[in-house]
Amino acid sequence: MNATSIITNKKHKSLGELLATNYLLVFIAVFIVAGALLSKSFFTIPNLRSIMVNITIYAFLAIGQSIMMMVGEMNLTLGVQMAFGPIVGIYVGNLIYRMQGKTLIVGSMFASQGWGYIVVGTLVSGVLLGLLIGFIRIKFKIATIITTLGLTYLLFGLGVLLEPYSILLTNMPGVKTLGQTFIWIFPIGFLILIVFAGVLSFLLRYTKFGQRIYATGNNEKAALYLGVRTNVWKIVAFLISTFCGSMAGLMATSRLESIDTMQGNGLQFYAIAIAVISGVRVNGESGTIEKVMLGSVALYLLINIFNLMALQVWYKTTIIGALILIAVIQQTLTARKGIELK
Amino acid sequence: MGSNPKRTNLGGSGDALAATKTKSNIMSSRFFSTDAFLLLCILAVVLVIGAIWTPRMYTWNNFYNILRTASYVGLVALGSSLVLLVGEFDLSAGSIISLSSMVAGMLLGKITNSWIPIVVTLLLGLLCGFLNGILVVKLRIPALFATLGTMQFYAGLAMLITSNVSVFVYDYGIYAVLGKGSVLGLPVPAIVFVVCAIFLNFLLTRTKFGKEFYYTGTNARAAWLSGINVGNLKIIAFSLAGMIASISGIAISGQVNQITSTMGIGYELSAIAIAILGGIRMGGGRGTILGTLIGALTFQIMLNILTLSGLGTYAEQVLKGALLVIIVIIYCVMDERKARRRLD
Repeated sequence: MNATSIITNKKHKSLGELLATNYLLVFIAVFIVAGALLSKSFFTIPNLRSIMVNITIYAFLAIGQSIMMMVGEMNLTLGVQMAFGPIVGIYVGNLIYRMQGKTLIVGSMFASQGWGYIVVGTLVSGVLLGLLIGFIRIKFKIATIITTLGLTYLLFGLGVLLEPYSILLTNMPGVKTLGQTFIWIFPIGFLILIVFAGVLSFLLRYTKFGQRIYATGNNEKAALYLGVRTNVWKIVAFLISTFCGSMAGLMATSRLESIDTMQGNGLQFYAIAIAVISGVRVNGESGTIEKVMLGSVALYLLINIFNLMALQVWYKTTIIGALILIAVIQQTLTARKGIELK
Repeated sequence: MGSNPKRTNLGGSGDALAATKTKSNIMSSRFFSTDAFLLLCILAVVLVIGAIWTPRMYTWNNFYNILRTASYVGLVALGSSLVLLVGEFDLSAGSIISLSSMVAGMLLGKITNSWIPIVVTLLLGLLCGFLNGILVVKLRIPALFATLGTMQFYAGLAMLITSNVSVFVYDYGIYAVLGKGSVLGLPVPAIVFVVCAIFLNFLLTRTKFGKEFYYTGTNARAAWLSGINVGNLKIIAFSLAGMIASISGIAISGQVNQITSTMGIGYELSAIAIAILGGIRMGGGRGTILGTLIGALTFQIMLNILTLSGLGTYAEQVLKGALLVIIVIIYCVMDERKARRRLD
């Protein structure tokens, strides 16, 4: 299906080739060893739990980005959606409470009930956002990169206007379920992620759904002539993507027990970085969910090591930028090599 | 191929569609369906809204400020317009501002000659833009990903080299003049902005180079087949964009009397919003620099109205985002209607 698999699909692989094809596993192994050597607290239960929680957030965002890239589109709203969804939820909940003569948000920054509103509000706003992006894409044929770039700023500003303060969800029943309830070291949210990724991976690999998604991303016109309703599949991909954004938002909210307008700010770039290093082509058509999961683990382990070594934030920014560049350059070079081999 | 007569015909002859089209439209009776008319309408509506909602914006002092602030972001928008015109996309302008100003800022206390930091800033902006161009053209990375990567990379680098420390400029020579000086009652940055815009407009509408620019944006493949060096033009566009952004960086640091490693954040989006508001199309090849000029003014007046009405900075974010989405849709609908009319 993609160029790299054509190159590496020989029967006998040398060790170098084996390492090159499973480079994400190599990265993960190197980072685990490095983490263990560099910091004593790497292999402690709290750190492992924290890693799991964060991987959940990053992986949801990365899957959301990857599914968009598979159909040849982009989603830059993922990061801001993490804050906007919960804000809409609590804002609407507050309105409904007010209609009944009660208050949900006390002292403009505390709330102790209404987790249901947050969950429903986040998911519903995600669906609406997906539909909006899809509508603009299909009705006006405007590149999603521009729409979502504009929407990022719009939603961020709107979020701050709706709830100017960060809201602390003190003693809210249900809030701890996703991000702070653990089965051994695995948070519930992580298990949901595994199930979600498993189902999505199965669908992409073995069903018509997957073929149509890849066909849409590979060559939209050709897919259209083959009878694939590309518009429908694009909207499906947008909805999956915004659902991922919503889940990441719920996970972050549950973990911090607060809704902050800045939460998730800038994480969309990490999502792109993960998607690109996991081999999702920038022009769509390729990439698998398993690799995206491995990519999320690898990238977050790297960030975790940075955090444990107390490196400043600008190292992260520089390295994420460099990572995106290196991964994309590598991709275009292998793609060219694939064309030459054919 | 080398002795193709059509090829020599291209540069000078009058069939250069894209470049001369906007000019002839203004002259013709169909002025009312042009981008320029739409843009002036938007500007008029904004001015009327301002007159009703915040009448105190109509003072010379306020307009002086609008001119000055519009030119900081307008300069960046000029660069973004160039890149958009050749059909590419630049997200790294803000980070180029931070990085180029910061490196020059590190020289400020150590060097007595006040021109050297300026030259360093400009060269660095040029270099950063050049690198973007190389990534996009030579390595064939989609511009979005390349500039997204460099946006993060340059921003990180700007913080890294100084450990995020700010440099105070203390009304340092040229910085102060460029940032907040005034000549004949007009702010210097606005003069620089207008001069740059006029120069670029001349370059794009009156020279062979400009026509090649428009051809490249309209149909890169056709342009390449007719002997235009598309790759080099794109690299030039990126490099110029980087350099113009760094000019804006000098002006901004002069105005706030300080160089920080995060000062460019957000300018790239404002710049793109202005360029698109000014009628530059996403796919490239359509739009004018004068549109960007009016776009910058309109944009800044809108922000000014928001500021005066006390809605705060976050309303600006909403405006920027909404503007980008809505304007793109409006232009798209207009283009479709025009295309349909042409078919009829």
